[in-house]
Amino acid sequence: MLDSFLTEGILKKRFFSFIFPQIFLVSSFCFLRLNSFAQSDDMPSSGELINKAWLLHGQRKVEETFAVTQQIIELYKDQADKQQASLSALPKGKEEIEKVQILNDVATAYFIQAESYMRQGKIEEAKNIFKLIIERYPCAQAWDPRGWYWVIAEAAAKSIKKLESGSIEIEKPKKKVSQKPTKIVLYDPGKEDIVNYSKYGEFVNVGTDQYRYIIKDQEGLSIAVGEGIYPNTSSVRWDPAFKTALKQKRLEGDLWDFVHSEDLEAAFFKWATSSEPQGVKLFYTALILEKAGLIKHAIKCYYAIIVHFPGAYGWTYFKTPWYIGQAAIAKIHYLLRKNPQLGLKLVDAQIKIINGFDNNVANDIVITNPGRFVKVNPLLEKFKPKPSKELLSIKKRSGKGRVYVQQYETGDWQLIVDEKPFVLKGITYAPTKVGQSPDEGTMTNWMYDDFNNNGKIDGPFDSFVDKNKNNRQDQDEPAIGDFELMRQMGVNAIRIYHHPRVPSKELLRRLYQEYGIMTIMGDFLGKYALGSGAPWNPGTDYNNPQHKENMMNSVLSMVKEYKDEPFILFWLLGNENVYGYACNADKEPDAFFAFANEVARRIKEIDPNHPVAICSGDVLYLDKFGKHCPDIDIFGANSYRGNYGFGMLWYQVKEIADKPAIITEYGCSAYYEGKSLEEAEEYQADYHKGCWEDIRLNMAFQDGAGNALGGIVFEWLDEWWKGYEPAIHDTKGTWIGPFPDGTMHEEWLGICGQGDGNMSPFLRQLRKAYTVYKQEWKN
Amino acid sequence: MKKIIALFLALVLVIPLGYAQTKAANEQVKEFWIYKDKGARENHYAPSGWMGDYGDIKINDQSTDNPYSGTTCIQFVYTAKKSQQQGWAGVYWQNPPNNWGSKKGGFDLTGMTKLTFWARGAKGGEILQKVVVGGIGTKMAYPDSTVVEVGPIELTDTWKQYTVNLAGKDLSYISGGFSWVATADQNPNGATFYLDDIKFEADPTIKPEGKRQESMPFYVYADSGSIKNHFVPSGWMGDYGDIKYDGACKEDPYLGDTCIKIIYTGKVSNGARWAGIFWQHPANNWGTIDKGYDLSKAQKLTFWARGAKGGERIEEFKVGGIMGEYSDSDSASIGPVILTKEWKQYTIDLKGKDMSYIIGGFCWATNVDVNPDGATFYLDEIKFE
Repeated sequence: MLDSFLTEGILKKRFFSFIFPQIFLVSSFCFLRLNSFAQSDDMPSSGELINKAWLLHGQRKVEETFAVTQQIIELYKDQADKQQASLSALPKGKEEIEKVQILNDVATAYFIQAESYMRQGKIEEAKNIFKLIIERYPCAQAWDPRGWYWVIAEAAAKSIKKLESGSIEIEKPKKKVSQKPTKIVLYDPGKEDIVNYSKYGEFVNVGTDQYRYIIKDQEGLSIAVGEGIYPNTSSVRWDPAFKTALKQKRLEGDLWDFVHSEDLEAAFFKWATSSEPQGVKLFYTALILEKAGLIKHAIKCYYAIIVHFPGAYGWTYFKTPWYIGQAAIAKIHYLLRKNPQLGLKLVDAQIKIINGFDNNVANDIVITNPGRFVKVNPLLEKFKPKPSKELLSIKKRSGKGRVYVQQYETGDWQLIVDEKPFVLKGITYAPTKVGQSPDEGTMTNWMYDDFNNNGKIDGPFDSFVDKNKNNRQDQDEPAIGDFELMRQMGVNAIRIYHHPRVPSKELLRRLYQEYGIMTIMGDFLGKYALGSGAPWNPGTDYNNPQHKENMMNSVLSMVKEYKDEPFILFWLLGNENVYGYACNADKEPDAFFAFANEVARRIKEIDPNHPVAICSGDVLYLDKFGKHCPDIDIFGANSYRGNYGFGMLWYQVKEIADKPAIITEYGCSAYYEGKSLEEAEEYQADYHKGCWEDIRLNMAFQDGAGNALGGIVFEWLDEWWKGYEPAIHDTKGTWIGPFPDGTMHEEWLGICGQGDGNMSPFLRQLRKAYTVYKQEWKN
Repeated sequence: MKKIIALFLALVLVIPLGYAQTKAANEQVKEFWIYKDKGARENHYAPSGWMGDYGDIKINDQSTDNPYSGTTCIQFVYTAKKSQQQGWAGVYWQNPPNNWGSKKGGFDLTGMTKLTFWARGAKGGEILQKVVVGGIGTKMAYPDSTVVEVGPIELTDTWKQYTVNLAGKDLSYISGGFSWVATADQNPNGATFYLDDIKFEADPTIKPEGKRQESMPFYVYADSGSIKNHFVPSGWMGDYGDIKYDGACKEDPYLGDTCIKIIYTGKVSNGARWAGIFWQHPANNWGTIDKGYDLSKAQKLTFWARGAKGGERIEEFKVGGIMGEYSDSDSASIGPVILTKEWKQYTIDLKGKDMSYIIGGFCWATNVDVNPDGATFYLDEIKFE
């Protein structure tokens, strides 16, 4: 089960890799689909044909593209028309969308034809087909492996506009609710900052699944907690500002549009009086209070979730649960960490969700201990003695060579390199030149790129820092290279995959020898059908002996090839395979993890000198990992939970698997709708700081779980192709999540920007997050 | 010249009549009749505005079956057959006939302080959900200047006078003089009833009615069709297609003859993955109608519930919380609640809550994620205490 984030009453979770699309997408709109439909004995499925059509289109085989797309249209048009006629609205969610897959495939076939015409310069023909799609198939959608569905008719309309005006529409979402910047002045802040809950009720069965807080004095508790916090639902309605906001019609609009409104007062009132489930309502009320700087009230509000609704949950867009009580605990820890002047600490608070690692909440058992707040002196805390590893005995060691992980008698874990603790300060490095896109087959290999033909590889050695951000290389801005910049930042590892492109050993050797940066080498282990030999549709099957043999060979060839290289830090298996997508790990998690463990065991037979890590998707099926993977040394997860870090993840890994853990991807965009780029950078830096602090506090001998080995930032440089137009630095939000403005702006994730793009791939504008890491990682 | 005189005379003759249309009541007028007897000169308005299941209504406006006074009264037969699938029916006395606010024709009844009428049921026990004065054409060109509702009224088998207090109301333009509404739910076997002597009166002793605090207990649901029921289960939310509602279920009610049975199929018919029902006053009021009850005396809301199998999970039971132009003054809730197979009483604590204005009397909500196979459950005796 995932601790993830909300969107529009439902939640959406990051479920795809940022890395993979670079690898094999070849067509302009290479939106492959996953399932096979409408297949009879004597005719191919629409899914099979559509995949074939995309492939041919990508290979610029015009005649064959038309032959295949026409075949789809002729075979399935009638069914598609019927499916369209059966719809009154756009299907929502994967399940509904896939119910009309024939419609989706037929519309896609037309779309590919139009794209092909466009590519050939046959403008009128292209426009005619785009128009046909708009008129006939308004409800058709197609899957983008980046992680979402797109409406084919909308894409067709954009293409027509592009053909007619020559301009590319940049999406500027309209703000639908009040954005008048306001502050919150509480009418009733409550009588107690830290509420003495025992005074107003009774905690029963603490630490069990029968936990309850029984309110004995609702009035008294309402007075204590104050406005907007359960059970006080009255004060907010008596707040004169509430009545004013109502009168001014500032509360009109969709509740979810208020989450990131600048009208904090209206957002607070809207949420505090909403009809959302109590847990969700309190979380977002608290979030708005937090944004308004009312930290004490926000903490009180988060804590009310733990006391009253510990098992509350929300849902991601893809129907994965989000446990609000656990997130509330993490938020409180984060806020108290960030506000040491409050002199408080939350101790013993814990919410365990038994059966919480699957997508089913009906089987959840919630074990709650609300914990308590204790006063602390920040100064004394600082000088509190920490256990010294020299005095501790080693409980467990995994690995025999220069890199291994070891566990101390305290249960804490460390990664050891050359007999010294190694804190993983990693980054994803993929310096894509502006204008290149895997969608258009124009992506080159950064490991060899030398666009100015000066004998230096561009990104690694020839980039420069545009200090004054004038988008030019001034005299005092010499080439320095990303490798050096990363070294100065404190990076000590990058994460790459050995396939399908072969990495440059020479470059990685230099990276290590000259800059001290090691490499985490990965194999996709069948994700996106890579390494398994499976077709994209239906993808890798972890029960298929042939697929397994192919994947095993892929991994072992990697290990044999690189195991003696000094730059190797450890091996990484997979990339969020548990979310599925051209593999069935989401449906067959037991088979997947059992196979991953088998792979790890074989790796160790030929290379006992490096640990093996898995790259999972947050904590989905963590229980399966714990059950099947004794030979995998490190649990790694891509996780995007918010600026507070990763919540219970560390403890869960410790409890379920007793393994060390790393975050294999985390990050935040440097774009914030409605704010300046400078402000947006601050928010990005704050997000990274919060995440890194959480990682650090959970490292060995700190206050947390003691099993964090470090993390891998996503990513070094903005990539402009992710919003489809590779020459434009697109600001559109691609998915909603726990980011500063509530949206993921895919093309702005870099710790460095590429300025106006004209001097790509050389120009670097270092963002504030760079400085944050420089301070955090170098000290 | 003759023409001018003739015109002048015509005006003199016409103006008082026209004036009577618009200024019916003045200092001298003490009564303004709607129905005195069939064909009486004093009668105003026509019973032309048939509403809801109009096919279920029969009228005899010259019934001689024991009139209260004079020679005739009006007999209504409401069959409750739901001819138009509405579940309710009613009649408006309008001026001019069939005017729903698009025509000018309201009387100025300023000075009148009450409307009185006599009524009886054929058997006794017939329920008029409400009677209404004014309220025509709220969003039309000629809207009534006020609306006043009273009800429900349970009729007896003998004549009884009922009064609608109009003191302090703006009666300057009333085209809907009187109306009654009955529901099939409250009259499952139909209702035959009689009305007589319907009139506005200028009674200087009547004082404007203050906001009344309802006395406790105050029922949301007592029994099917009970006059005690004050809210209507009209606010179907989320996957409303997944809900089946039976307000007259006879399967082991906790008290009385009936209870509420709800089947939530969890089929996600409308794509929401959750569903619920709000009991509202009046029906379908999402904060758009100023009709809240003052339940300030309520300390708690109690209800009985059971699951068909036991283990059904209801995410929330709630009071209030409807937001709109006329919002509930507060909200309170409990949940999640795991139902047992046996009846069990649940309480929503209202102490410290502002219950002065409640349009959403009760609500339940649940979802498919915690009830993957749906849920069948029963509710009974939902009341404020």
